[in-house]
Amino acid sequence: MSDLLRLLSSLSLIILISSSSALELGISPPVIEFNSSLNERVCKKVYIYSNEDELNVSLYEKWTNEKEDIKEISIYNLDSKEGCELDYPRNLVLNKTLGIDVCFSALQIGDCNGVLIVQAGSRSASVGSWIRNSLQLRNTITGFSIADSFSYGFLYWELGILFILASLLILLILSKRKRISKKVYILCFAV
Amino acid sequence: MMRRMLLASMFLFASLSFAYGGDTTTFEADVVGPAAPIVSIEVPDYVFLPKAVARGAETNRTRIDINNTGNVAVKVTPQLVSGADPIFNYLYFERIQAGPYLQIGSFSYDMDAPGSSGVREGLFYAKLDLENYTGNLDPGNNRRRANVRFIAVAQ
Repeated sequence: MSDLLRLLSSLSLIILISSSSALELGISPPVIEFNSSLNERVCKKVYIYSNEDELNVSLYEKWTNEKEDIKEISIYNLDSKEGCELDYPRNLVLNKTLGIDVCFSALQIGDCNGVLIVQAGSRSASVGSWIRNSLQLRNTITGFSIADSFSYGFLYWELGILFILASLLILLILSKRKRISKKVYILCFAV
Repeated sequence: MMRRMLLASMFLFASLSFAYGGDTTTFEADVVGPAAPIVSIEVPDYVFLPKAVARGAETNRTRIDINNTGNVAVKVTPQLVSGADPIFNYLYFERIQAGPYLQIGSFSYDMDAPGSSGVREGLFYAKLDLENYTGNLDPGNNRRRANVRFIAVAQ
């Protein structure tokens, strides 16, 4: 009996040791494109997911000096980047799903390529969302858009055609009246 | 006849300009788009590397199961939480059993987006290889541990 009990406890211990918990962690969207102008603060909604309640998570950012869109986490090794300002809550308690505001300001011309990482405390899962903003010097057209200019142009064309048609009608009427009056004049003269 | 044609043309253009003069009809409908893209993974919290290892030796290979529970393709990269560890800097990973081992920091694992089941299962292998370790080791059997995090980002 005691041997059986010992065997059962050993088996239970093995089962307990071999099983391990698995943490699920998620973030959306996978890429956050801010399209921010110079010194403009743009905020986007980011959602964090977990399969556990009361999960302490911390957020941090990493940047790269690479200008191209390279999705390789190992090159994002800068803790900050000049001209790229990201504002977000650093520590959160996650109950399955949470939406947060992540705000970005471009303080100078250039590319801001980074990643926002959500770390589940000292647990093993982390997820990241790529940060993208490209601010370049370019000429801008102000005033009215191409669509506006097209619509105004079309209206002017219409009015022009109407004017021409009206003029032709008036001329036709007048010429007919002239012919009539000429005929009347000739008739009267004949009479 | 000519006059009638001209009158009709004028009427037609005039009515067009009236229609263009700002009369619009609003159409409204509910349109369902695709699900929001999510990067999500499921990873084990604890991995034990069997077989004690000394300088110049390596542990047995251990299988690590990892699941893509989001809906986009991801790249998973293991990293030491502390940034560096004298022993666990010699952690190596391989994608398939016959593949080359890559040291932590150089290894990443690509996972396709899940199919209709909603989960894409994946696995790779890890071992601790102290063949090139030149540091000191305390005498006797010492249980060492380090926190490794798996960072998942969209491909």
